[in-house]
Amino acid sequence: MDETHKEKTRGRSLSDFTVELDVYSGPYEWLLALILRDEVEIFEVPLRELVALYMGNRVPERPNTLERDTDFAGSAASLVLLKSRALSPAAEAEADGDEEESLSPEQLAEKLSRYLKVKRGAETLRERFEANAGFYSSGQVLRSRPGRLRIKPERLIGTARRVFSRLTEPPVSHLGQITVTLQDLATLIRTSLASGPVSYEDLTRNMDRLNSAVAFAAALSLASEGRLTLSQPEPLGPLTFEPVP
Amino acid sequence: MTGGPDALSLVEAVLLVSPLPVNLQALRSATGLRDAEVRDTLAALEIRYAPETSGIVLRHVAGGYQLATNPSCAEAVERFREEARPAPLSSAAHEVLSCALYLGPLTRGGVSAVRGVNSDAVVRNLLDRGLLAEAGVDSDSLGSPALLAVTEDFLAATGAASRDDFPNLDSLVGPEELARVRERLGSAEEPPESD
Repeated sequence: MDETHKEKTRGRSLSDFTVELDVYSGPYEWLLALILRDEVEIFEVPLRELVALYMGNRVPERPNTLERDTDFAGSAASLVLLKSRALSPAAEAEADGDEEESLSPEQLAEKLSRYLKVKRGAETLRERFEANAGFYSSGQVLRSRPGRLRIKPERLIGTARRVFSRLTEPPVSHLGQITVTLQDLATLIRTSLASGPVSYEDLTRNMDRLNSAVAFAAALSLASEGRLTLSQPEPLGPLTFEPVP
Repeated sequence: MTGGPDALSLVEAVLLVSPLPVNLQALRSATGLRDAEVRDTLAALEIRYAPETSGIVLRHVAGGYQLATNPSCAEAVERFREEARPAPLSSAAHEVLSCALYLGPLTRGGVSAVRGVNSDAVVRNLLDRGLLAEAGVDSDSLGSPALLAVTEDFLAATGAASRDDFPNLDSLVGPEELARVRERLGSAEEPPESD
């Protein structure tokens, strides 16, 4: 029976982890699915808050803590990668085949001014939506009236385009296959610490970005368990892992 | 009992069964009343359904009139209908709607250009929620992309009778603030002084 349960929950150790964010509230696994389907914008997901939520809900005594940590670190690392790629203008320009247009100071000022106005407009809209929430109209459903239904060809084409465009799965090939576990990198860090303090840069010098991100998560996990201390003299400065005697 | 129902009863009955705002023309057509009678009746209904004393209110939204529940009773309505209030829109969604309202109709590319980030996912979500709709195509652009505009549902959700209810785009940012933007850009453009 235990084996059956393990089989059912394999890879789903986070199924009971729910998150409460401004942009989304519900199971974490659904959030990942919505991000992959482009239904939640990765720009709007505060990853720091997500990690804080996970750490806040973490119970080290649980039997599958390591598996949960591994799954979370893996998915969080993918989100970091996805967000960094989405925010990189170079990557987007390359994908679109466009070269970045150079704007004169006047054009740039015009563009920023227009965006500022649109942003202010968005703020007034938010207030209006909030002020007008909670109105419910009649639950009656009106039957369509024969002879009054007008189908405009361009709207039909637009609708068809929208329906079929939803069949296209979002590209996820850039995410790559996750081939590293938090446990592997935690072991690597602990081995390195046996001979004294080690810098994050040295540790991850030959790693790719995914491994580097998971190594960082592993270090955080070890630090929270009191097995190492992190020292960083200044924000974004060199990070050093020190063994706890 | 003599005669048929009065004007107030007729308009009230039509509004009650309509899930969408009903415009004056439709009210006239359904009730057989004259324009002035319909307007007087709506004024009387507004008093009858004053938010302070009624669980139903009369709204003038999206170019028509609509009977809706009083928001102060929303929790009870939601419990009865066993449904949660729709999740609030994200900041990005508000920006996209602002683009469509003030600069629209415009294409997805146009929205993304104004915001400086790809907005396709947000647009799709707003189309699904019925707050945006495709309103024609931009024939001058390659591939004739669809033009996006705000919908009547959007007007109803924002409590607006028409697009004129929204403040003018240029009035949203003061000249001093715009001057500060230009000033900052100007100082960023100036080369650092050399010794």
